[in-house]
Amino acid sequence: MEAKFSSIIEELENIFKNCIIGFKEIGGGLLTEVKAECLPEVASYVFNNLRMYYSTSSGSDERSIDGKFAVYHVFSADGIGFFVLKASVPATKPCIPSITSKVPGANWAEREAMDMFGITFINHPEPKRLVLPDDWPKNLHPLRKDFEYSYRPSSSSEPTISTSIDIYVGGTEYASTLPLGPYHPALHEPEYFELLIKGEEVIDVKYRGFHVHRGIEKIGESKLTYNQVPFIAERICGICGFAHSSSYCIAIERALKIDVPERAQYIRSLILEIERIHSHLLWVGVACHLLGFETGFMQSWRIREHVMELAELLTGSRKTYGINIPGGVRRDILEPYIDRAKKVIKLVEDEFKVLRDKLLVPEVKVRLKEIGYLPKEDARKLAVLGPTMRGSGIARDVRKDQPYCAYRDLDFRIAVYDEGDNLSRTLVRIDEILESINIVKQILDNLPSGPIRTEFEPKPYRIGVGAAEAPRGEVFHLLITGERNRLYRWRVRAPTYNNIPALKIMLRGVPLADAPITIASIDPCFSCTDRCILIKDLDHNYVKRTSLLSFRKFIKGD
Amino acid sequence: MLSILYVILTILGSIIGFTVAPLVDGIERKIRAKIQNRIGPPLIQTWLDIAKLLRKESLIPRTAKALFIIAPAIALAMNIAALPLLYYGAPNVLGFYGDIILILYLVVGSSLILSLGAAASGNPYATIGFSRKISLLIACELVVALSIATAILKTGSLSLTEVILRTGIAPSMIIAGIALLIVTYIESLRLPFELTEAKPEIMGGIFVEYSGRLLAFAELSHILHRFVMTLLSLDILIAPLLKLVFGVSIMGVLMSFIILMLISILVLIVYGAIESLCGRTRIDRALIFTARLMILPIISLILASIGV
Amino acid sequence: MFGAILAPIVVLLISAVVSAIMRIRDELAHIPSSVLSAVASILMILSATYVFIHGKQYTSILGIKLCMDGLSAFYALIVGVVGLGASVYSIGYMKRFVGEYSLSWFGICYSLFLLSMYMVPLTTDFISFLVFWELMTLFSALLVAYESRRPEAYRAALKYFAMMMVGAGFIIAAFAIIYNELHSLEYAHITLPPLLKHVVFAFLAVGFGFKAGLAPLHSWLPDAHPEAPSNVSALLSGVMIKMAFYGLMRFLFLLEIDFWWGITLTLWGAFSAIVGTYLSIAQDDSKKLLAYSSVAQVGYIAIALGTAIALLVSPYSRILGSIAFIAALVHIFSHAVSKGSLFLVAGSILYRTGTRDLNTIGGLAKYMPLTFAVSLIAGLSLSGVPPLSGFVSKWMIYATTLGSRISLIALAAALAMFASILTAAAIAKLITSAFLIERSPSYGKVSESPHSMTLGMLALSAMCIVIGIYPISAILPASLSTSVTLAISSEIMLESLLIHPAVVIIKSAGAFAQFSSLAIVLVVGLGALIISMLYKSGLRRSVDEWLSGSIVEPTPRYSAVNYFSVFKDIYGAVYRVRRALIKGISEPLLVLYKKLSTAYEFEQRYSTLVLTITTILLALIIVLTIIGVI
Repeated sequence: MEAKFSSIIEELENIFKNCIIGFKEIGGGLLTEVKAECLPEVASYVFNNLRMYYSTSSGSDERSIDGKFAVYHVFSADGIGFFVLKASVPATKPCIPSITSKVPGANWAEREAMDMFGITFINHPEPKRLVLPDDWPKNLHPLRKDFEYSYRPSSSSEPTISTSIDIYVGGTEYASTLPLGPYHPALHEPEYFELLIKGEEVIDVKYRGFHVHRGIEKIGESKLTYNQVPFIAERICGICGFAHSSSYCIAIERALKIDVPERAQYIRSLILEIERIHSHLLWVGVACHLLGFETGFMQSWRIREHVMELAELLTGSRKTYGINIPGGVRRDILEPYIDRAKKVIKLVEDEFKVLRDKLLVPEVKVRLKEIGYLPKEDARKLAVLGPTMRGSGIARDVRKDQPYCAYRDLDFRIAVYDEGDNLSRTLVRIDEILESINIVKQILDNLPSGPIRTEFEPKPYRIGVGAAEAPRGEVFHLLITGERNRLYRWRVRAPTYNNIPALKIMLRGVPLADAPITIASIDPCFSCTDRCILIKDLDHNYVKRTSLLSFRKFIKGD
Repeated sequence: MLSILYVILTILGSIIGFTVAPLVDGIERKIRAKIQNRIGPPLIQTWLDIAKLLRKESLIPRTAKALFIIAPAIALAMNIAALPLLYYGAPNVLGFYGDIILILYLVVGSSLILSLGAAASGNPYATIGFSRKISLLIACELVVALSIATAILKTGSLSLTEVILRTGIAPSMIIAGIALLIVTYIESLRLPFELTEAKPEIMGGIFVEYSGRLLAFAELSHILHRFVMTLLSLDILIAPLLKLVFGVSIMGVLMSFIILMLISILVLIVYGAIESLCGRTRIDRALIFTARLMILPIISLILASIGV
Repeated sequence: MFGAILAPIVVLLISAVVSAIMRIRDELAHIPSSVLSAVASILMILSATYVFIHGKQYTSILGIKLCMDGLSAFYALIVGVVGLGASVYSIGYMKRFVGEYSLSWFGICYSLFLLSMYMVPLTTDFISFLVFWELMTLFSALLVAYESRRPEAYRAALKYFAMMMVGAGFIIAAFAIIYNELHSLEYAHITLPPLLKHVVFAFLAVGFGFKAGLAPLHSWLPDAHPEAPSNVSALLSGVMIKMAFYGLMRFLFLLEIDFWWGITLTLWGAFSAIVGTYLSIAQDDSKKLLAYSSVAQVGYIAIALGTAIALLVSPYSRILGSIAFIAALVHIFSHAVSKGSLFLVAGSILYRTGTRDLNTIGGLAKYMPLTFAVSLIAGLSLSGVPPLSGFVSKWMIYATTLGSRISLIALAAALAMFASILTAAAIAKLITSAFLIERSPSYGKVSESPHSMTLGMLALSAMCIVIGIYPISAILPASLSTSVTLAISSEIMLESLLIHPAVVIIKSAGAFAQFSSLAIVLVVGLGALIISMLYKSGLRRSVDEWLSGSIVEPTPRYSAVNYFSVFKDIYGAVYRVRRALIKGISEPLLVLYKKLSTAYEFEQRYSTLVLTITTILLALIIVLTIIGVI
């Protein structure tokens, strides 16, 4: 691995001689430890000069290892591996310079680290709460190691008001606010968009998310063993769950250098592609529904039903397959089912092609074209992922750039459209469905034989990164292995996390009627992105989720 | 004797209109289901829905004004009042000089009062729906007014029955009737013009705060409005022809009555089928479409003024 | 009995004098003038009634011969009715200005404004007509400029004044031509050569068109009406702009009417109706919205008058023509009461909240229920909803225009029907944004307007209902005045009408049956009642409104500026035309008025004086012109 990075290492050593503490090979890439004060310059160099794509950032409480808090910034060196920048600061004064001004995409991740670890990011443009609810007590940071996972703090009497609601831009005179969410037919999960409209035009948007946080990272770091985590990981998302469990498995396999049998690799790829077909078909249906085209919605979901049957045939489950485990898969695909699977996939392909021709008619295109424009440069700055990114003309795909599972052996192309509007994002997804059907066919034809799983020996404090191209974009998992067969740190980043900030650009100036489809055009999956906190209510003496009710109450101020 | 039959047919037509309009909605739903590979609800589902809603409690927003509560009832009553003024294949004895304008008043008034009631709920979604509905209503009504003006100009009468009896087959009337039929489709807020409800955008728009009994009235009024508008445009388009073919004898009016009712049900079903093949448009596009539609009644008006 | 005619004049002169004396107790000065004006208004109604019963009355004052015939009496009636409402309203409303502006000055101007409006229809010669016409313009301009420390009010008054001068120029020119042939200043029928006849028509139409505010000559109206105190706005919009139609009705029928005059007026009216309503729905200022709506409503009157002229030319359609004439008068009456009440409503909102901006008010229905009720009645009447006055008059207009079987007139009627829906939309915008839509008010909780204001509004809106349910109350005087003007017996006209409660039917051959719209209204009302009763017994629960589970501060809910936004874009041709018109037609006038206004900004304190002197100078010029022509 280090060999691949040699030119980058050399370049960085030359330029940032005094900043770099050391290089270290990790599972899936290279870890570069830099001095905290140099972090913005190095990150800026990596992002702007080396043109690496920003992935995510993560905080980490490493006080029990070296008495420090650490921050990891992950970039993707396409074709080589992940490039991870690490900086650590003493626990007594956890202040690290923010890289958000250099790498705008890091905004949320840094704020999350602020909430979860209490690390202060110096010069952060928007140092407000992101993940934690308003009534969460100050100076209590749930992902610190001294915070018991079962601990339920009482709600704070002094709420931190308006945590992550952005400030409107100008031109708002006499504009009206229109809530879109948390419970809105256009959103299938609770999320709050506040549209500022003038007549029928959206002039700005505020966003408040993270209504539903399930504390999955904390549970994974505290309660579960390596082999249990994939099943929780798969439940991060109801639609792209397999991408999550695969990313986790890939990360741990890379960290512990486990050789996964080829057949298992192929089975994972197969299921990942079926999941993509399923998810995109579901999206096409939702998009039709939002455009008021109910027939398209029904037909698309009818085809999706076949895909679910296919998944059931191959894994035993229609969704949430539960076959991933570090070192391979749990369940083999039986030979007689492969023929039946081939038939089903052929059926899906034929029916979908008919539907595609019915959908891409001028009346539908006109609703999508030139709406929700996201320029290429903004897309890169905000590090958007998946079809959102490829719709803005950035030809990236984890399957090509950071190959995993069997993708190195498979023949497929990446769908890219340059216009950056809703139509190009739609076309990307439609092309990807057909491409995935191709991949599924290839895998079904060439499924290698052999074992499906290997055993492994856990070792502590190894770092691994794993990424999989989920239907919505790159799912990223960073983990540090720990003692007692448990993870020390587990960071999950769903693609929607990077895509939502781009909505602020996409929604400006769109007609109100196109706001829902524009929001849907990033295919937001809020459950991947969100988290939920348990708070003990002093008045009622029971444990409840911080509900919208209290959010409401605090906004109202009573 | 004949005039008793006329009265009976008008009353019968009104009753059939009232009971069948929701059933036709059921047929539409069934057809839509077939197109979408679904089984679909039973034919009487719309009546079942209304019956269920009538039994449920109504939620009244605290911000709502009294107008919110009375508006659906007034709108429903206005639509019911418009039913016996229409032409059901037999000369309408209840009609009078100027009833066309009264029908238009009732039809437009019911839309207007319903949307005003929605605006009185104080809900911003409803207000957007209200604004859209009024915009669309104005745009449509220009076409309706010009088409009706054609009919009046052609025959010189303000009575619907007289207009129909005097017309015969005239190109101007046919064009005006077609314009009316198209504008009826738009005005009855079917996809792609279902902009005032637009559930994924504004969550039902004008209906967002209506529930229970109030919603039942509003829905029923909406369905009746569709029927009244459709029958009115068919009265202009088809009824003169029927009268020419069958005359006003007993058998003639009976035949006209049956055929007119069947055609109006058929047109509603066709509308339903078209609806299921469409996606929602945007208000700007809908208004542009309606503005372009104005060319039809203008042509018909010109034709009528040169006596064609 | 000449006392009947003179009594209001005397009372109003006393009112002016008392107001001048009341300068010593300025804060109470509005009370005697308002009360006396109200008394004078009642006297006007009485004298008009007297004339309707006993026929034409002559009298003279200071050597000026006055005559009250049917048409003058009709106008006296309208001045009386709206004047009564506005004067009662003034008692409460003028308290707004205590300590800010001189109430005594208001009293003087207001009394004399009413007086001049009463006098204009009474005159019997061209010179005294012009004198009172100009006095009416002068006092109304002074009232528009009443809030003299506000530059907007000044500009509006000056623009108004400048445009009225131009209008008066046209009228004078037309009079000069008539005088040249007639050689007498008294009104009398005259036969002119065809070309000259058309020129006179054009001059009269344009000259009075300025006063009526027919688009595109309306640009003074949306500035002047909102800037005047609301009670004055009610009179301006309710009565004064219709004085132009008095002029047209009086002077056009002195000539031999021509078919194409009628068509021209009708199409012009339809244009004005469309432009006025379009611009009206685009307004966010409550009084501007109403002012533009007035532009549209005078369009309706022009349509009716034009139809009347076009039909009266042919001997076969004289009856229908005379009914169109009646329709014009009834619409004048109906619009006077409904628009009058709406301006008073806008005044009440202004009185309580201090703003005319519809974007910043809202949810007033629960604080000002009576004002809301008045706005609902008057607004529905204006939109032509039965059983209110607007329905009666619009119905008559539709029936005559569509029944005329003249295609251009039918086109105008179709456009007018469309404009009627636009009117409804504008009124819906006014009512919803001011009364219905929730907004957290910056002005805190407000209470219902003072009793005198409420009484004034209720009186006017009650007239909407009275005329609506008993159309005969407006049609009878209208037919009497028509019979005088057109020399057709009013019995013949009334025979051709079937006047039911709430509806008027124009007899036509082959109508199958006659049916009262009141019956329909009763059916609707009863049906609604039954349905509501059905509802009453149902379950209901009060809940928070559904905002998709979130809380939004009600402050920027849905501002008036957002209404029909896309519609305004798509059907924006009218707005573009308007801009072009402002550039093309009213630009020269604007230059004139801007020059005047820059001159005034130096010496705002003396501007009233300057305004008066200008008027006198202009009046002198007018007189000199006439003498020169003689």
